[in-house]
Amino acid sequence: MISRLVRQERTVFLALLATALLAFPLAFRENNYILRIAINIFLYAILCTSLNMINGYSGQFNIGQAGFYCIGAYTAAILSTRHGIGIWISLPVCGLMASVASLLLGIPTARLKGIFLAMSTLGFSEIIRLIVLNGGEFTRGPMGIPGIPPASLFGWELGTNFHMYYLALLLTALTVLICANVLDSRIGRAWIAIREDELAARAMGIPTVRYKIYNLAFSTFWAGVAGCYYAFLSNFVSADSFHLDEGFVILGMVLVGGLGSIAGPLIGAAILVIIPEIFRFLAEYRLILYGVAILITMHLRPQGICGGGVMDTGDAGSVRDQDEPPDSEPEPATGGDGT
Amino acid sequence: MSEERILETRELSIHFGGLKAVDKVDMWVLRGHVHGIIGPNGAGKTTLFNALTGFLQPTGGRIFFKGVDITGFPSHRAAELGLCRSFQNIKLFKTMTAIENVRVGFHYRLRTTLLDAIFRTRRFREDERLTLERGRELLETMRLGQYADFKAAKLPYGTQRRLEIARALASDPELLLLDEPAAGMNPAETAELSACIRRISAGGRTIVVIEHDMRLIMEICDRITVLNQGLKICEGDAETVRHDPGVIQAYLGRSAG
Ligand SMILES: Nc1ncnc2c1ncn2[C@@H]1O[C@H](COP(=O)(O)OP(=O)(O)OP(=O)(O)O)[C@@H](O)[C@H]1O
Ligand SMILES: [Mg+2]
Repeated sequence: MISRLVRQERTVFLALLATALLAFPLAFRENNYILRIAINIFLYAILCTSLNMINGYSGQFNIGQAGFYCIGAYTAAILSTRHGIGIWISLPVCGLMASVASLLLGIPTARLKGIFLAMSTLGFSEIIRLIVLNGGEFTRGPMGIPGIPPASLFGWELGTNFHMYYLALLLTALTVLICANVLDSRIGRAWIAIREDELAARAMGIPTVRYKIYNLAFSTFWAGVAGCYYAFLSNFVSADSFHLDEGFVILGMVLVGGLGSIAGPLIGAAILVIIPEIFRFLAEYRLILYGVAILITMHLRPQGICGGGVMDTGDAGSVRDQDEPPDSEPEPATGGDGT
Repeated sequence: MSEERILETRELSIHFGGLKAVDKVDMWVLRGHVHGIIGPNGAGKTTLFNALTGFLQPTGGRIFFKGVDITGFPSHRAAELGLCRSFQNIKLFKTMTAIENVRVGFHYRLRTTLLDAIFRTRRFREDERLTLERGRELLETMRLGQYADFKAAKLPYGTQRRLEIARALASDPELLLLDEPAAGMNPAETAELSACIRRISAGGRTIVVIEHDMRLIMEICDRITVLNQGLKICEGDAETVRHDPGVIQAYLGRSAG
C-alpha cells in the first residue's frame, strides 16, 4: 500500500522531470552557454553513473575513470576520422573497447583490495594517457586528433548544441535506465552482496572474482560511451583532457552526490558542474573548489547527498561494531554442566 | 533412516604453520541427521567448517560429499554442490533488507543474464518472482516474516542469526552447516531456534551444527563429534558423548587450566 503510493509519486516526479528536461532547451535554443553547461552535466552524469556502479555498488575502488573515458574518446576519433564510422555504431564500439581494456586491468587485479586496487586503477589511467600521448602516427601524440565530423542522424547533422543536448539526454537516460535494471536483478544483488561481505557472497554461490571483473567491464562500458559522445561533441580529442584530474573530478562528483544510489551521481554531476560556473573568477582554482565541496559534504553528510546503500546504516557506529566478530563475546556455556 | 554417509572426511588436516588446527580427523555425517560438532574454544571446529565449504585448502586428507571427492573445490561452488553454511561471526549483507539477503541466497539457482535484466525478459520476471515468493516462505520458516523489509543491520542479534540460516536455505542445500547459531541468544530465542532447526531437519535436510550450548546440542543432535585441539576425541550419540571420559577430561581440563 505505502510502497504503491511511493511508486506513484515517483512516477509523477519522473514524468515531470522528463518533461522539464525535454522542454529545457526550447527556452534556451540560442543560448549556447547554458546549453553547454547542461550538456556537460549529462556527460559527467554518465561518467559518474558508470563509476558509481563500481565504487558504489560492487565496493571496488576505481579512481582512474579518466582512462576508460579516454579510450572511448580516442576510439571514436580514430574510427570517425579514418574509417568514416558515425556516432551510432561508434557508441557501442567505444563502450566495448573500454570494457575490453577494463579486463586488462580487472583480471590481474581482481584479488586486490582497497588502496591497492585504487593505486592500480590510477596507474592504469596514466598508462592509457601515456600510450595515447606517445602513440605516434596512430594517436598523433600531443597534437591530438582534430576534425571529428559532427554527429548525424539519417543524414541530418546534429552539429548544434541544441541537438547535442538531446543526444546527451538520451544517452544519460539510457545509461541510468540500463544500470538501474541490472542493479535490480540477481546480477546487481550479487554485486551489492560482494560490497557488503565478500566471503558471505561466496558462500552463497557467487563467484566473486568473476563478478567483480564483470562489474568493472559492465561499468566502464558507459565511460567508453561517454568518451565517444565527447569526441563527437568537441570534434577534437587530445590526451590533455584525460589527466588524472579528470578522474578525480568524476570521483569527487560521485562522493558529493552519494555512492550507492541512482540519483547521487546525477546530482553530484550537476552540482560540481554548476559551482565552478558560478565562481568563474576562480577558474584557476577549479580543483580547489571541488576539494572544498567534497570536504563540506564529508563533514555534513559523509554518505553524500543521496547516499543510499554504502554508508546508510542509520546509527553509523553500531553496524561497524559488528564487523568485529561478536563470536567471542557470549562466552560459551561449554562448562561441564551439560556434559 | 538411511545409513548413507552424505559427508565424510578422511584424515583431514589443516595446519597453520606449526599449529595443527585440525589433525587427521575422520568423521562422517549420515543423511537426514542433525549432527553436532562440539569442543572447547580453539578446538578447530570453525576451521573444519572452512575446509568443508572450500574456504580453506586442507593441508592433508580428503573430503567426500555424497561419495564424491570434493577436496580443494572453490568456496563459491559449495552452494551449487549442495552445501551451504552460516558464519560464527554474523556475515549478513548489512545494508540489504532481510528479504534481499535471502534473495541473494538463490543466486546460483537463477538463470537471469545481463540481457535478461536489461530487457526485463520473461526469464528475469520469473526469477524475480521465484526469489520473492520462496524468499518470503523461507523467512516465515525461520519466523522472520515481519522483518522482511528491515535492513539486516538493524535487526536484533538473535534475529540476525536466524536470517543467516534463512539465507543459507535459499540455495536449497542438502547439507546445512551452522556455526554457533545460538551464540548470544537468550533462552527464549534458543528455544525458538531449536524449533526452527527441527523443522528444517524434518523437511529432509541434513544439518551439521557447531554449538557451545550443550542443552541445545543434546536436544537436537542424532550424533555428535567432539574435537579437542584439532583431534577428534569422541563420536556418537548424546549418551555416549556425555559419559565419555575423554570428553569430560577435555572440558574439565580446560576449565581447570
Ligand atoms: N586463519 C588462521 N590462521 C592461523 N591460525 C588460525 C586461523 N584460523 C584459526 N586459527 C587457529 O586455529 C585454531 C582453531 O580455531 P577455530 O576457529 O577452528 O576454533 P573453534 O573450535 O571454532 O573455536 P571457537 O569455539 O572459539 O569458535 C585456533 O587456535 C585458532 O587460533
Ligand atoms: Mg569457531
